[in-house]
Amino acid sequence: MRPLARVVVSTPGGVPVATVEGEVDITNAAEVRAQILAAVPNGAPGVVVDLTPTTYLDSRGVHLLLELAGRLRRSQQALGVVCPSGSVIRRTLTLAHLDQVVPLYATVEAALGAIG
Amino acid sequence: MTILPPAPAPSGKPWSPASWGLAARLIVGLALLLVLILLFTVGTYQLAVWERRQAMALARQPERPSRMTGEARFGAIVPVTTTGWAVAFTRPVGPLEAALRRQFLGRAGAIWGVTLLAGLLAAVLVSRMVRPLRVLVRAATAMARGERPTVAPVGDPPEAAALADAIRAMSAAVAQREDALRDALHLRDHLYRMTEAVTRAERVEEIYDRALEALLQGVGADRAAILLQDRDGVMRCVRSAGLSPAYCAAVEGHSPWAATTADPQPVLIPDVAVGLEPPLRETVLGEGIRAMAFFPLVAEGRLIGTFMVYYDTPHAFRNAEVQTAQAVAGHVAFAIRRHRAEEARRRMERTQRYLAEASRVLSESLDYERTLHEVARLAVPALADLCLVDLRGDDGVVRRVVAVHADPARARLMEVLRRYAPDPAREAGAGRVLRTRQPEVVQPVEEAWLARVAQDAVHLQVLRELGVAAQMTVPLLARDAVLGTILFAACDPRRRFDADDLALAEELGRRVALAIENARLYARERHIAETLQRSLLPDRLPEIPGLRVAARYLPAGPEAEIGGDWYDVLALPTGEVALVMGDVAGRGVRAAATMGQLRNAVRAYALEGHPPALIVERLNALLHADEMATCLYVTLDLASGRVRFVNAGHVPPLVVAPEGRVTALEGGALPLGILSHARYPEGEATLAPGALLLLFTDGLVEARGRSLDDGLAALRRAAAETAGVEEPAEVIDRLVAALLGREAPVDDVAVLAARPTPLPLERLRLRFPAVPASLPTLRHTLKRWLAAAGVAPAEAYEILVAAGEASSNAIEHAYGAADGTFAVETALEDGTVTVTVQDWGRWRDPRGAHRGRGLVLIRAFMDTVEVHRSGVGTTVRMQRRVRRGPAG
Repeated sequence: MRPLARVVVSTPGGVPVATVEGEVDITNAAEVRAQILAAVPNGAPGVVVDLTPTTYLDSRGVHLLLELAGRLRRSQQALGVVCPSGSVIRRTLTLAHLDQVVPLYATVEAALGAIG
Repeated sequence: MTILPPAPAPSGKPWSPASWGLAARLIVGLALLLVLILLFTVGTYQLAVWERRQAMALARQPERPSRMTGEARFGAIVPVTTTGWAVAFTRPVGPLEAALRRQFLGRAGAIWGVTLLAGLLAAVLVSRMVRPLRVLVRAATAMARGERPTVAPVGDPPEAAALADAIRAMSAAVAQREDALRDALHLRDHLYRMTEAVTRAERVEEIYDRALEALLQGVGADRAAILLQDRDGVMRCVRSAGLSPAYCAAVEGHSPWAATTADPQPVLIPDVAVGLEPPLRETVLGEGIRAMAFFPLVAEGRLIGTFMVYYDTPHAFRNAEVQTAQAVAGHVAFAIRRHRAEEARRRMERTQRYLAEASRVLSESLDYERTLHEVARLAVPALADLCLVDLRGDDGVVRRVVAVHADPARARLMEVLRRYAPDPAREAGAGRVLRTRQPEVVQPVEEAWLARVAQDAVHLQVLRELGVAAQMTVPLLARDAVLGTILFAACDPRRRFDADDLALAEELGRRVALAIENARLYARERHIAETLQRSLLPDRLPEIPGLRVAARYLPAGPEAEIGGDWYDVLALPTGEVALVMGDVAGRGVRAAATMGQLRNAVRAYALEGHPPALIVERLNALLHADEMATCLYVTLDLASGRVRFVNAGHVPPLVVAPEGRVTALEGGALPLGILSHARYPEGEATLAPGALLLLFTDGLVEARGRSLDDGLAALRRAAAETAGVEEPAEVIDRLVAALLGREAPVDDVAVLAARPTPLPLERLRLRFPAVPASLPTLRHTLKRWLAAAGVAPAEAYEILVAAGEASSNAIEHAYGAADGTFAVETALEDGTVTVTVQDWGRWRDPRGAHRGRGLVLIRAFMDTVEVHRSGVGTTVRMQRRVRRGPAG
């Protein structure tokens, strides 16, 4: 059994990658955001949020990502969101116009390449 | 009446009047002598009487000369053979001899004449002397025979007259002594029989009766009475004969001796008119009494009462009477003393028996109101005729819990009396005892007193009707509090409660109070524990779509403390369901508290999303050193039927397949609290569609006289028979009935049954608490439903997002509303999925960017969206046409 969502952080090349496993909704959006923020050191150029294993994400999740983007922008850090084109949540992200604020990548490598 | 024993027979030969007297014998003797002299002197022949042997010897001799004449004699000797004598005749004597003989005869004739005259004179004299003696002899003989002869007057001689007087005096003396002896024997006999009767007497009244009888007969009194000292030292008339009640009442309290008089002596009043002072004299004379006497009743040196005897005429008391009365008094005093001692002993025994019996009843049950009834039933009629028990409740209100009467015919009156609980404000009765905590004895119970305690006219009437003569009320004291009172009343007008009765009542009061306090303490603790336990157990199980679940908690019998069994059903954020069951060792408040901690810990750990084994390991670490518990944690994935479980020392759960096959989910580890770092392995199984999962505590299978294995086997059999019973609640009912019957279980029992069921495809109606935590459950349920309906995963996801957004809004609307729920209904019809989300909260305009985005998403993902707002809530109806894949 797992919690609704789990944030797994790795730093393969100087940029932290926060992988969100599970579902994000009103019940855990704040917690997920806090966990991602905790994974970003002040000196890091930015963070990659990997939504590949995310199985559910609604407007609260979108809101979370937008808030995150705002915070990082103020600290002059970059945010990249990974969402494969076949993912069920990609449409949610585009419908909410997240892609106009935050760059979306198909893979972690692409995101790391853009930020790093 | 026994008379004297027969007079002893006179010893020796009886004197016969036919015997010749002295005079007759003298006359005959003289006559014979005369004949012989004549024969020897007058005859010419000598007639001689010889002894036979001598005669024969003489006959054989040759003739020998005569003594007088010298001539030989001849004659014949005739032996008289029968006598041994011989008669001899000899030849006639010679002439000289004859002449001499005549001469001699002349002289002799004169001598003879004189002799004869003297003889006659002597005969007359003797005869005169003998006659009075004969009379006296007759009298003496009659006396010796026991008669009382009259001695005829005797004139001469003076000695005879004196003798007659002496005999007369003797006769009188003998008669007197005989009378005295007869009296003494009579008395002895009387006393003996009285003593016997008194000894045999079972009731003290019999002693009084026998004593009065003995007294009246023993002293020949006309009337009598017995007065005894009561506890206050006042002489009370307990029995009387021939006296008026008024007189008896008048003499009560009178005593010629002080209570402390060391050796009281009888007081005799031969004539009341001179021996008594007014006004007592007038009272006594008025009763017709002319003489009287007081005899003290003394037992063990102490004056206990008085014997009174009365005569209707002045009476000179004889010693014998006084002695008799004293003897009777002594016996009776002793008998009364003995009877009292016996009575005291019997009473002590009765008291001990009663207290023992009451204690047994009191200790048998904690249901003290019923127990009090039984104790009261024991008290009547053993101690009193009537018994009332009043208890002050925790609220301070006094209630009458028991009102019983020895006579069943009085039951109706007691029912009325039961309504009159004592008023603590009253100055008398149970109310005062409640206030003062002091026992109260009222006797005799008088009208004025009844009027004081009666609360109204009906009450007074009932009290009068009952005719209470004496009553005592004791407080039920426990530690510092007065729990209530017990009242005992006697309806026999003569009955009085004494110090012993009161001591018994007080002792009973102490025991009853202790029992009540114990029962109340127990009830209070049990109430706390039950409340705690109830508050810790789920008051209702969550509604989980696709899962039918029921649970039952059966507390052990009323005498047992509550246990620490618990169960729980949780909808996990992942869409799985957790079923929890556990049993904390021990009983009472502490076990219930531990159970509460464990239950909350399980909920917290489970909702945080920890795996089963970790949850149980954390529980184990949570327990204190001296605590122990079993725990079974099962997760169930409703979509797949997959079961994961961790068992810490609990009885294995059972799986009942639809066709009735029963399997246990074996595998487990130590109970919690044994090893601080124990590892708990996780087991897995898959439920077949329609299978039932059964969790229970050992209370279900453990019963009196049945081993755990037998119990488990019985449960498996009973479970197999429930195949076909759809509702888990009914399955539990049947199992409980089969395993426990109607009796309350020995130990607490918790049972939980869950059966996953397919979701209805046409229409799914869900209702959730309006909290964010409902959203994952909603999504997982909808996801299962959509999958079952054959909706493609991508489309299903978008419908989920739309439903989730609408539901998030509904939860916000319902925030703070009275009915904090929202409803989701989905339907599939003609390839169109309709989702309706309804809340009963207050509409709030979208605020913040995400809310607007929510609606954007809904509109984007669904074909049509209708929002209805009203004063009672908001309904969002959304539809989307779906491409249906293969069914299932």
